[in-house]
Amino acid sequence: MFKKDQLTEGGENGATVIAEGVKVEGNFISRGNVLVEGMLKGTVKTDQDLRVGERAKIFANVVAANAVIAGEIQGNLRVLGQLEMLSTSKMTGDVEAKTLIVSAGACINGKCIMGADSASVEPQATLKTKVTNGKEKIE
Amino acid sequence: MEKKKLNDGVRVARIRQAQAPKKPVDPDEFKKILTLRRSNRIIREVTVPTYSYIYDPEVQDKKYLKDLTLIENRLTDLGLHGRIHRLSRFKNLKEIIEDDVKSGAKTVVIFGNDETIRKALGICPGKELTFAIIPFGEKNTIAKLLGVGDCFEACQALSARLTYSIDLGVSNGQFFFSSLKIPHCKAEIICDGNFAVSAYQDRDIEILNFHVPKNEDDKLDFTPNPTDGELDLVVRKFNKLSIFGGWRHMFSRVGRDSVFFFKEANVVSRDQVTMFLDGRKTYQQNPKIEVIPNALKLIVGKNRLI
Repeated sequence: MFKKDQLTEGGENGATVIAEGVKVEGNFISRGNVLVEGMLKGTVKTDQDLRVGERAKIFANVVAANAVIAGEIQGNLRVLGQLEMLSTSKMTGDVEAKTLIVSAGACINGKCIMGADSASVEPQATLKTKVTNGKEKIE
Repeated sequence: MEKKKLNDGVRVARIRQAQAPKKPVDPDEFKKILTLRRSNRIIREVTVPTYSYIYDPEVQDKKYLKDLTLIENRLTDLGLHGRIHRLSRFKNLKEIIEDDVKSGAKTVVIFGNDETIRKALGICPGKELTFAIIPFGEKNTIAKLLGVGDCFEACQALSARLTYSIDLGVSNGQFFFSSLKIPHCKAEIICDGNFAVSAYQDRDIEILNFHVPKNEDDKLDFTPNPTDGELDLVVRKFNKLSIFGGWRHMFSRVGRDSVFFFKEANVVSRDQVTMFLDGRKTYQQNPKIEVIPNALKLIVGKNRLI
């Protein structure tokens, strides 16, 4: 998905790079690929691919076309295409993706909505249960 | 009734004259005649050259005399006549260019190296001027990037007149052509009013329109585009002290450069910011940095690298 040339060459083809030791705060909107290895707070939106490095920390809601996550995200993540969570990834928040790949060791704490219509699906109302006499009954 | 008809006819004729498209004026590149008329008589005809040649003080050195003569002859053969200005301490480059623009010059040809080019290109943007470069002396990286690395190539490019529009950066009213550097920046930079960029440690920050490498080691991980209508904010890699590799490689850059794209940025800092605009040191308080898209027209060669 990520061509090495696009990301190793930094800002080539309009790719934004947030390297280690750099902090970005606010509404970050990009038209090209985004590589995050530093810290980011706020919101992140990109029309193309997002890559989060191992040492990256994102405290934001993220929207991307495709994503490869190897770092930490605290916030909701919405991917319109393929989402790949690598073994060092740590996700705290809801995840929406059309296709999801989770490697062994990845950590997801939140809801996971998948499928072709994941972007348009509204969260269903949860069924209420009542425990009576040690048995659960659906109301 | 007849009078009314006549009046209507006159009104229609006047409206048609006002709506008639004006014929475009074709400027003569070699000759512009100024006429002064008093009582229907032509009093004076003055020919104004449309080329303005600016010679750097270094170019006027004896070692370049032979090459300079050859180029002047070549330009004469090509029919590219113009007024020559020899820069010195007593001559102001800005005033020279402004005077030539007032008198009708359309092309400014700079004889010199990177420093002279940077000084000239930061002057008088927004006016309909085309700049050309004929490289002389050492450090002619800008000329090589524009495809006019050789004097004679530059003459050919000038006669071919292949123009290229390039963006220009401005910081609190001061223009820069290639880069704006803020060494050891502790300030926060707010880009397009949307997000703020800061670094944990002191880093060198460069705002690039056009990267002119100082030496072989001065490389970027990407190639800035001077025609995209945006400036590139680069937070350079961290300088790490290294014992290995000798004294030349004592400070090595570790990690990766951060790259952002913006059209307008504000540098927020308590103190005055020390910055280098195309090598000129300046101090500004909370500078506002913007891009002016397609502000400069340059004559380029076929082998340009931008």
